[in-house]
Amino acid sequence: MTTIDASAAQDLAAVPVRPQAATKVKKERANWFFRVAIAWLTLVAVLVLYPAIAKLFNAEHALGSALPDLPETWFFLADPNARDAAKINAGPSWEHLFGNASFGQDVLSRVVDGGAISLFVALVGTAVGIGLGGALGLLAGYLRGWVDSIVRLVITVTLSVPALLLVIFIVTVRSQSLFNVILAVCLLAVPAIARIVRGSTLQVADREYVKAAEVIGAKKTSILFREVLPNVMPTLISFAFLTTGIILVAESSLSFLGLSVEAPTITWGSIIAEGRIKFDETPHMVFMTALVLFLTVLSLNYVGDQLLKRYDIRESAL
Amino acid sequence: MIGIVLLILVALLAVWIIRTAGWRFATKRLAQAALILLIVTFGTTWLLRLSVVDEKINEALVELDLPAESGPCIVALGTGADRESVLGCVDDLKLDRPVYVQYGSWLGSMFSGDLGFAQYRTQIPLSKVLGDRAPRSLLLFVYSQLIALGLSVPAGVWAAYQAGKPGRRFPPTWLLPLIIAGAGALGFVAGWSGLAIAILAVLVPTYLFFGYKGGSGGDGLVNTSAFVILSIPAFVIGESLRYFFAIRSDVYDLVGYISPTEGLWDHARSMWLPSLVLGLALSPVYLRLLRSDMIANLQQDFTAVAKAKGLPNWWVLFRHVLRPSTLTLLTVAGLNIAQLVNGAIITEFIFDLDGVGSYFLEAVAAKEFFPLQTLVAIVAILFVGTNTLVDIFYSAVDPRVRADDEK
Amino acid sequence: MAGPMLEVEDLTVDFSTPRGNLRAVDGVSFALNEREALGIVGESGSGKSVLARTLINILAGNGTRTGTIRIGGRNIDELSRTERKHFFGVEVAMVFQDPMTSLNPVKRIGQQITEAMRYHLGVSRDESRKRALDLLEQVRIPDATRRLKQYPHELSGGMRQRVVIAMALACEPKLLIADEPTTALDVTVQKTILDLIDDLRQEKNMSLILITHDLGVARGRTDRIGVMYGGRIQEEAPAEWLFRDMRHPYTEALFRSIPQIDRPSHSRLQPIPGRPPDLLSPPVGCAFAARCRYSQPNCLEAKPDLVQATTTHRYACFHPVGTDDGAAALAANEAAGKNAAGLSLDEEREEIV
Repeated sequence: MTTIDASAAQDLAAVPVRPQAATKVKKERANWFFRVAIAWLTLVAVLVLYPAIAKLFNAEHALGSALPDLPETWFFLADPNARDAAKINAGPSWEHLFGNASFGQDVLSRVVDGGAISLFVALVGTAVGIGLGGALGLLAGYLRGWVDSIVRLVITVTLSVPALLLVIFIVTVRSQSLFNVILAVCLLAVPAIARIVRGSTLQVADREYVKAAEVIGAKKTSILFREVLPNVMPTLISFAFLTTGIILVAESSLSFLGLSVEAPTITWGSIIAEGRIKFDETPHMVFMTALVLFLTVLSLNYVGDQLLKRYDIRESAL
Repeated sequence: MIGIVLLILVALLAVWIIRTAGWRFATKRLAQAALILLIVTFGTTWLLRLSVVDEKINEALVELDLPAESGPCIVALGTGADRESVLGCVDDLKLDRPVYVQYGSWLGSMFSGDLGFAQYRTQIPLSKVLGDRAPRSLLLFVYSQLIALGLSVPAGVWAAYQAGKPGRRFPPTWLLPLIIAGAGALGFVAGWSGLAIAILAVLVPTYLFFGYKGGSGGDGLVNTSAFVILSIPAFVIGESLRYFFAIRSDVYDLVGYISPTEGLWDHARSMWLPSLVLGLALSPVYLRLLRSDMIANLQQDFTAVAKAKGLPNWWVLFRHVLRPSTLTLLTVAGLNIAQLVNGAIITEFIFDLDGVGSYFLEAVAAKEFFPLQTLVAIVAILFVGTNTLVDIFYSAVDPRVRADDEK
Repeated sequence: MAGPMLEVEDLTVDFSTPRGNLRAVDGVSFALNEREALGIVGESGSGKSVLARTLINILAGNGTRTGTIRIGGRNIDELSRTERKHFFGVEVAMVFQDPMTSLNPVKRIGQQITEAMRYHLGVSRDESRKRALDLLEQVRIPDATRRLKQYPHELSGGMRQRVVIAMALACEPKLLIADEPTTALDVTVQKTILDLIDDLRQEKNMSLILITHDLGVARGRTDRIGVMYGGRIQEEAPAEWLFRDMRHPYTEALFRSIPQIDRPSHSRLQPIPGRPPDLLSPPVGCAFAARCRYSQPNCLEAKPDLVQATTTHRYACFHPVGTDDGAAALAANEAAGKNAAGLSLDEEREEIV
């Protein structure tokens, strides 16, 4: 039973060891919820973005005619604007899972349609935020000096006004178009992300391997892309998810107040606003849409949070 | 009257803080703040000029034979206004001069206390409107903060305390979708109220179950709850609670704001639900802050020493660990003007309270650019001002902050 | 009072961690009489700190203990609720290792000294303040009245440790446990603090458990010394006896690794090769066997029991130092160039751990 290693190696594994009794190792439960969150997000993305893509395919320009025709919407969805006088303000039923709106339109179709705008704003805002804000943060954090001072100034200035206030102000002064909403949202997202990326970059730039690369004489741009960026990337990705959620909430709040894109364009916030007018008759409009909104934001927050926990030492930034 | 007293107190506080921190650092910070405010206010003034005019305004412009920059005035006065009044407005607001003149004139009137008109047509001064409405929003702020702290502090302390202890395990994962599906089916059958009752019927026992000797499961439940509440947009919280308390039942009356001078009880009755909504929206962030600070402090040596002295757990928690853990929380709560402003706009809208937030929305609806710009500027001043003061205060307390700034 | 001040019988402490069960203390038994000072010596991971924390009842949430502990004749598991509330901190008190972190940074010194008094003994505020002043004088902190109102960061490390000692003595305990009280202090301050603890112990007729990793610290200030390794007591003897007549190879290795004034100058210090055992998968045999110069195959197979060699000396070893059996084992190993676990005995070889 004695296992003695006769070799001169310092192999202390020769010492017989009492094996661990079969103990329950805590299962990684988080995995399950994570997959559900990703699944929901994929579902929403596919469901909502498909009609937009189909429209692109069916469009009447050179590219559109070269591509095959696609049905403009999912088979189980109706035209979001089709009215049905018989079913005005009806509650959820098997035919209309989310109920009907004030002119009998199918709410489910409206939610899917409205999601396109809400998600589009969120995704574009996040993309610009990550792209531009990330770049600014990286440059500021790594290059320091006057670049840093300017970026810091821009960040502080933009963030000195509460978000909703600024967005509403911009949308009012300009006009309530999709472009202006996205513009306003980007104006918030870029400095917010720039600040976070700058902080992360400062930390990474301080680390030994970056200093080692500098000492070797590598060019600054090369260091930025090969040493700094890959280490800032995990933070960036997790914040991409978190920011999408935040912008989604911001846009929905905006259209809830009636200050986002105007009718007849549908957004999630506008459906909720519509539902609240005759709240006792149409609670389904509010709650079903709110449910979809909530689940989406929850999934985005959860995924972002989990990624942050896994790759970043900091506690969740929420 | 009270405003003047408050202003004097704030000024005294500011002077004291600056004295403690040292003039050099304070001046530097104040100069920075001034610069930022200059840029922000200038930006908003400039944005006014970039305002887009729609067709109706364009028609009126053409009709009255006026250049495009008179647009905002036409919007303010209405399309039916005559040329004279529009010209008078343009001259008043220096819209026809270069932007820096416009800004200078605005700045000048700000310093002299003239905040402009809340409604150009009726010439009601903005200062009067703000004076009337600001106390209402302020009360909403105070109440919601109190509720948020009242929810988050006990929960945060409790969760931190339970975090390390063995206790009930979180329910097996496959149980959750079953419960959700069951609740959903019930909802379909019993309607929204039935669904709400079903959800409560599931949640209340769960909370009670983990509430007693919860251990790390209890901590997990608090964390999950905070996370869920965090993911619900504020207006959804508002509308949902409004449905169940004001529409589905009569617990809350949607009468809008009732001033405390008209009766404290009525005032409370009008304010409790909006404050609860805003408080709920704020609490998850506070809870997380407090909980993580407390967990960090609970692992410190001095906690073990206190326990070794034989002091009971509640003594150690509340009289040893809580105090150093509240630092971050108090700072954030105190500086949370941004969240409060956002929340006020939405809450005042939902519950029909006429505070500054709803005035903001009214001005937006009427496209009153000028008071909007002034309002944004005022909020920015408040925000930057308090942040700077707190920064200076921190550096007085912790010299490392000063060194950080110079990095 | 009849019987010893402290009796520990077969104490075992386990921690349940995500990676399995960790046994920090493995069947430790010892006793301490009134006014006696026991030194517990061991390196990090030997279980001595866990032992201390168990005795003062601040075991972490995931720890479980079996065995009996009797303090002042009372079994701590059999205390009633009210007795329990006012037992720890009163009958037995502890001085912690790091004075920089042992004091609450946001509370004044006076408060920290008096709170135990006021909670346990119900002393009034004025009376407790008087007693605190008295205590500060006893631990030789000058200008006590001013110090009471100060915060910890206004005091130096040595002074903070004195405050920690004063805190521990606040309720006049009969048993004082000092867990590495000087490890975090400057060498010059160490001696004064240790002397202080010694003086106070004698003044107040307390029993003392002095926990340290430094044999030199234990020498001269303790009546008996227990050497811990791998969660067990490997040897226990009256202090000077241990130094003259040690039996356990670990004790010998510890001894050889500290500078001795009676050795020729420039003689090499002998560090102990190898690493402490992994407590998550502890070795089947003797915990020290892997690093022991004397170890033989039977050491790897079973743990030696504590053998009571004389009335006051016990040790746990199959091939003890200073016996014929041990000498033969050592010779055999030196001839082979390694011990039973394959560890090289070549002292010139660099051991990369």
